[in-house]
Amino acid sequence: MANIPMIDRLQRIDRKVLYILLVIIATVPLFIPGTVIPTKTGPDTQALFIRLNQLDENSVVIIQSDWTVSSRGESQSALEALLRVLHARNAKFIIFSGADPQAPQVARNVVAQMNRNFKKEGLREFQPWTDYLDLGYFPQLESFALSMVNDVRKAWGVKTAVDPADGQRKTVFASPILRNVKKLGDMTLYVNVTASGTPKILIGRFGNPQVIPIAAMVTGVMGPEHQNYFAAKQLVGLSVGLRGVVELETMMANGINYEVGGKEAFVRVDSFRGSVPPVAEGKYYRGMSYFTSLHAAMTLLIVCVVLGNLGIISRKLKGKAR
Amino acid sequence: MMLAQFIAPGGSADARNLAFIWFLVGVAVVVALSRTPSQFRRHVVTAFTFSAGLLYVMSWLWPKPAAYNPSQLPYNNVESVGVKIAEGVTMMGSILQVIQGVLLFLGVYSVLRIHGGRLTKMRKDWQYSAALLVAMFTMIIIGYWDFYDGRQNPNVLSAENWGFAQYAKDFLFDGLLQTMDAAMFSIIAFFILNAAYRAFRIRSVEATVLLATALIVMLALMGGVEYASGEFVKRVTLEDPGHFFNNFTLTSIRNWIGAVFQQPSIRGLEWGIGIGALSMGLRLWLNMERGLSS
Repeated sequence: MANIPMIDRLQRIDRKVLYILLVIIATVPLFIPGTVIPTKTGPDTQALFIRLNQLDENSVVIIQSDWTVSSRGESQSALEALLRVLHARNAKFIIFSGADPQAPQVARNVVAQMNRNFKKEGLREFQPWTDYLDLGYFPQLESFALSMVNDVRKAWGVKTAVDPADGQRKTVFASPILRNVKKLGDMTLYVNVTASGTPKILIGRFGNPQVIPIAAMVTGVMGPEHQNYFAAKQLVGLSVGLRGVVELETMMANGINYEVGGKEAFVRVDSFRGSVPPVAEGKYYRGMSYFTSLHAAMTLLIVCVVLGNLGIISRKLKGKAR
Repeated sequence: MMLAQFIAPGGSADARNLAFIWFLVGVAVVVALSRTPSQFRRHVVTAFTFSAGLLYVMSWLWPKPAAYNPSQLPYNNVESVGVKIAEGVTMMGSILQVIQGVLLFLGVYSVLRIHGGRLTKMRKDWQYSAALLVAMFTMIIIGYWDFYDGRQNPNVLSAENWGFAQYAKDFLFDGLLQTMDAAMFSIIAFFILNAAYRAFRIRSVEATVLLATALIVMLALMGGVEYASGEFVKRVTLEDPGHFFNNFTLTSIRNWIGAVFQQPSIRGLEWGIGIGALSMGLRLWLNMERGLSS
């Protein structure tokens, strides 16, 4: 081993060493809270944030949550960021899943977790029936999406929830959120938080012009194909992967075109007239807490690619020298 | 209108009675079909497939009712047909959801048949089948117990009022199933790292271009690196927006790669997939697919 040149030794790193390195590098940053990495925001997340900040108290947002914990790092952070903005805007929401039977329970857990966070922060909690409705799971998204377009009252009509006023279980259309809803277009925005290609199913069935504007919060691997739909304006806003969530959190912490004390705005969007104040000034959440780990893991990946190719580069250089 | 008598509010006693009646009707139809000659059965399947598909095709082709409201009368015959199609599609959506539920039941039946058989006959690896069945039944029982508790007393939904069923469900679903799911998925990171180290080699010009592109995209994903590169370019260009060097920020290069190479390629791929799905859909709908007609 002692006679093997360094460059060849770097080509023969045992996989266990790499695995241990990855575990250490990806987990250690999680124990260092409060790290903030300055990040530029893109037009897709800017559009989503601006759209969310145009919601008012009477707005009803439909959240289709199609992810399970296999994509928790990205999707849970995305759903939490979305719920934070809705909470700040005092908007109402309907939440359900259309792609995975496990997804409704996962989404329910996130709403419960957010309520615990709000309680700790001394903020009001989301109340079922008056602030949000949990519709559970609808199988066969393709036909279900068409049913919603044709008659949302029939499509959701079988779902019930408990009215806290009398403790009775009633149809969800008796709730203050849906009482006046006759069609899908009576609600303000449809956000699909997903780890798969479900926004495409919605885009294909919601017609042109769409019966309700659609936004998507997808995982990193699903990002490139959804960029096409954002470019075609079939998605009014898009957040891609953990990077997208961090961009949203950056805008939640700094606002858009928002100048304080003569300091230049951290997020400047020239195409947007006016400004959006921060949701919680200077505060970052789950997305940013994972971002250092992402940086560390990506750095390791890049280093591994370079190390793996050092031998080939060195042999090519030697060959040229001869 | 005629169908109204077959519809009842969700969760009501009428709905349960109707569901039971329709379940019996379904069983009777299946039994009757299983006793008919296969030639006749094939015609029935073909007719159902064509009718169901026709409804969806018509919903795309027929003019849609303008500002359709279920409480309003249709304006003319064309709109009247459009309303009927829209109602039919909604009803078909409900039927498909029920079919999905039946498919789940079939899946459970299949698992029971295969693993129950292995267990009773003590075939090789019967222990795994036993573990699977115990896990499945425990989850089903605890899940329904929790669901039933929630229906009887909605207060148990808040964590302060949890009972045994809620703690058990939390342990089984969040503590075990979801955690194992996350662990399984996270293993991919190790494979990716190993592949990046051992397989991603610049043995040809194409591989070198691919590697360089991948490195740029990976660097651009790291917000901190991208931000630093932007700040560096700002200093070099003295914040002049018209400076040529602005084209070489990590953001600009990544956006160029995305807009010029990546997204058009994906559009092309999706176009091809769409044509394939259309032809497959037509084959199924018109009974040209071998699996259905043979």
